Amino acid sequence: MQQTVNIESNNHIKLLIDKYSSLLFRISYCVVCNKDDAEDAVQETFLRYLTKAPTFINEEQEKAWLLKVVANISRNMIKLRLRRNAVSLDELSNIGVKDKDSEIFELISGLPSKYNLVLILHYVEGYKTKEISAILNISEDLARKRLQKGRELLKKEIERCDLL
Amino acid sequence: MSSITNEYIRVVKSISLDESSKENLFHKLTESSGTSKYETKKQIAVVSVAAIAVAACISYFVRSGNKIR
Repeated sequence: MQQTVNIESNNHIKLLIDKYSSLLFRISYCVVCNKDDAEDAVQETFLRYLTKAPTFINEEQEKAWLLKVVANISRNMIKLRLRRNAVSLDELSNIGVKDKDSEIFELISGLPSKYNLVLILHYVEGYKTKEISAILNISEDLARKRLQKGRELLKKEIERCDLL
Repeated sequence: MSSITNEYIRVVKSISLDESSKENLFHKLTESSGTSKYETKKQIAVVSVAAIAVAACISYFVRSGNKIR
């Protein structure tokens, strides 16, 4: 009986990892800029999911909960640090970023995390500002302003470095 | 969508966790202890701040006691 429960819970964990780990890692990495820390944030997110065992109406709600938790953990991680990590180019190739994209990624990671999170949730994950405000626990107006400011900063940096 | 946002999306989407890291994560989650380094660091930070606060209070009271004498 115990073995059956363990196999079932292990299968559940495997399913979670296959479904969400890359997504959560991507979001965390853009904030913390360090592979070990981002992996740690993902581990902590899943641990909280497994210990709190929240119930969800649907998969979208589950995904939004996980995103909220990993965003909070990642933001807390950079608060605990004394200084910001520089992006390691060696590490970038280990996480799937091509060499030719490393300059663009350095610019992305240089954006303040509050703008990066909103940009990722909107452009990469397709969330609207109302959904982003719920995930990040900010007002819809603030989410819209951060999105606009994030876009302006990104455009300014890319044009300044003449990358496109 | 502008070319800038397209580039942003493309580069961010390329970030992923490799299979060996996923395996590693699976093993960490299925271990009995399962405490992450983040949680451990947070606990250390809380204990350190509390210890500094206690030391500061003790130092203040000792100095106050010395002044009265």
